[in-house]
Amino acid sequence: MRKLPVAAALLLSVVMLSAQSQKHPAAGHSPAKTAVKLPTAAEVDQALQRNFGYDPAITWKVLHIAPSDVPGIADVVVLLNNKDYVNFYVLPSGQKAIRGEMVPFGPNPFAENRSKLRPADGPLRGPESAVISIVEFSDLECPYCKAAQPNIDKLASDFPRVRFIFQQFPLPMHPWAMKAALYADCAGKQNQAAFWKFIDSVFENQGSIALATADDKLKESATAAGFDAQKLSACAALPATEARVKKSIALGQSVGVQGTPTVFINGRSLPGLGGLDYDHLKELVEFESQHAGK
Amino acid sequence: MRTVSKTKLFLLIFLLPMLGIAQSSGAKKTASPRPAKATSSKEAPSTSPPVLLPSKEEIETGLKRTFGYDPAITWTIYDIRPAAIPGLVDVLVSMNKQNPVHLYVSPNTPYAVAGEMIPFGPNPYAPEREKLKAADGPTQGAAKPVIEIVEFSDLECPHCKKAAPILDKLVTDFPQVQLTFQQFPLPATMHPWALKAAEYADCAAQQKKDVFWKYIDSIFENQGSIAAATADDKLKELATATGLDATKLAACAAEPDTETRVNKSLKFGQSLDVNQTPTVFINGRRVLGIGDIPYEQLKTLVQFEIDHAGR
Repeated sequence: MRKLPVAAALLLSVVMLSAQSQKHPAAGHSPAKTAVKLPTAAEVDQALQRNFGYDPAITWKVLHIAPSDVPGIADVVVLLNNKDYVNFYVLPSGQKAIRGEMVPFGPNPFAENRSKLRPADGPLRGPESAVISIVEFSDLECPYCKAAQPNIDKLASDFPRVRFIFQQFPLPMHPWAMKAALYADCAGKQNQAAFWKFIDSVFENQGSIALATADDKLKESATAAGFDAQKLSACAALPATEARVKKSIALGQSVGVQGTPTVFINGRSLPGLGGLDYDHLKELVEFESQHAGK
Repeated sequence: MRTVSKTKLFLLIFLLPMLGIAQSSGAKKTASPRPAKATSSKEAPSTSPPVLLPSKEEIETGLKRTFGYDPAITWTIYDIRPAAIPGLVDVLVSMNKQNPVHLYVSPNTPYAVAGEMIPFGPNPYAPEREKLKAADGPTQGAAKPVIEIVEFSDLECPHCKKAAPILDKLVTDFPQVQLTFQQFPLPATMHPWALKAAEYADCAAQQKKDVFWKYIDSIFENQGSIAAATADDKLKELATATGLDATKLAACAAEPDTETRVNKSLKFGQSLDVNQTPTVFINGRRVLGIGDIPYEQLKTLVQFEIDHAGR
C-alpha cells in the first residue's frame, strides 16, 4: 500500500513525528526540568490575547504550564477554539515560543520510553524472550480501543516473536471504565489466557453497559470467558486491585499517555495507533523489530 | 477524542497557515517559497550562542529512525543552523517535497520540537517593529501614521499581484496607516525578470514618487506577458504609459547603485527572516499569505494593531 495520497502520507508522517510527547511529566523529573523559569498563567494569557485577541471567534484556555524535556523551555498546553490542543514551547526570554510538538529525535529516540515501560506488568501474550514489546494502554469503555483491538490481535498473530502487554488506562470521563479495569485486572491475575476472551467480550458489549448495570454485565462477560464471576467480582472490589490499576495509569502518565488507545511499539508512541492502517502498522512493527535496542 | 484532534492539529501545523494568519517566521504554504540555501550557517543570527551543530548525517540518521519504516515518506534537509534559542539547532527540512518545516533539535537530549517559532509575550512584535524602522521603500498613506504596514514584494510573483489591491484598500480604509513597499525579488532561478523589474521600480520611485504605485500596478497587470528576454522593452513601455521617462529609467536601472539599493532591501528582508513573497508586517506582526485572508478579518486585524500601537 504505497499509493497513499500525499496528504495522508504527510499526515501520517506527522503523526509519526509527533508521536509521544510528554505533556504530563508526572514522574521522572530530570534536573533540567526543575531549572526552568515557568511563565505564569496570566503571562501566557496576555501573550495569547496579544496574538489572537483581534478575532473574537478565537478562544483559548491555558491548560497546563510545566517544564519540558528540553532544558530551559516551558511547555504550555492551550485548548484553542475548544477543540485543538496546542503546545507552545516558551523560550527562556518569554519573548518567543515554538508552536508545535516535542518529538523524540536522534539515533536512539525511543530508549527513554522503552526503559520507563520495562516495569509494565499487565497481562501479556507472546514469547518469553521477545524481539520487541508492544505495550498498549487501553480503556475498556473507549470505542477507539474497541476499534483498535482487531488490529492488535492481527499483529499478535502476524508477529509471533513480539510480546504484547495490555495496560489498564481507564479515563476519568468514562463512568464504568474503572470498574471494568478492576475486573480485567483480576481476570489477568487469575487466568492470563482467558483474560483476552474477557476483554473481547467487554468490548463487544460496550454499547449495552452502563454504570448501574456494570457489575452484572461484567460478571456475565466473566462467566462467558470461563471465569468464576463471584470470585472475580470480589477481587475487583479489593483495594489492592484498585492500587494496581492506579499504578498502571501512573505508568502510562510517566510516558506521556493522554488518550486511549496509546500503543508503544518498543518505546515508540502511537496515540490512536497513529491513525495507521494495518499495512503501515505492520511495516512499522517490522521496522522496530529491525531496530530492536536502538 | 483527543488524539484525533491532535492529529488534525499537526496537519494544520505542517501544512496550513493557522487561522488564515501565519505569524511564524518559517516558510509555509505559498506559491513562492524561497528555497533555503544549502549552507547558511554564516548568516546565523548574531544573538545565537555558539552551539555545536549536528552534521547532516546525524540529522539524516534521526529522520531515518523516525520515518524510515515507510519508503513512501521522503525528506530533504535544507539547512542546519543555530536557533535563536540557547542549545537548540534549527533544522529546515522538507517532507515529501512539501514546503520546508522547522525541526528544532536539542542535541543534548533525545528530543526535538517540530513547529514554528512565533513571537510571544506582552509586546511580541516590538523587536520586528524596531528593525522595520529602517524600511526606506516608497510609501503611501498617512504621513504621520499610527501604525505601519511594510510589504516585501516581488513584481514577478503572482501572490504579490493578488496582495497589491488588498493593501491599497487597507490604506484607503485606514487613514492612520502608512504602507511601505520593499523590493524583495526572488532568485533568478525562480523569477528570471524579478530583479530587473525591482531595479526599474526602484528608479521609478526616485524619479516620480507618486507614479511609483501606478507603475508597479501596471507591471503586476502585465505579469503574464513579460519574459526575461523582453523585460527591458516591456518595463520601458509600461514606464512610458505611466508617465515616466523610459530611457532615463532604463539607464538608472542599469546603474550599479540601483542594484546595490535593491540588494540592500533584500538583505533587510532577510534580516527579518523573510523567505517568501509577499511577506507583510502589520505593526511588526508578520502576516503570510495575505491574499488568502478574508478582507473583513484582515480589517479586524489592522484595527487590533492600531489599538495596540506601540505594544
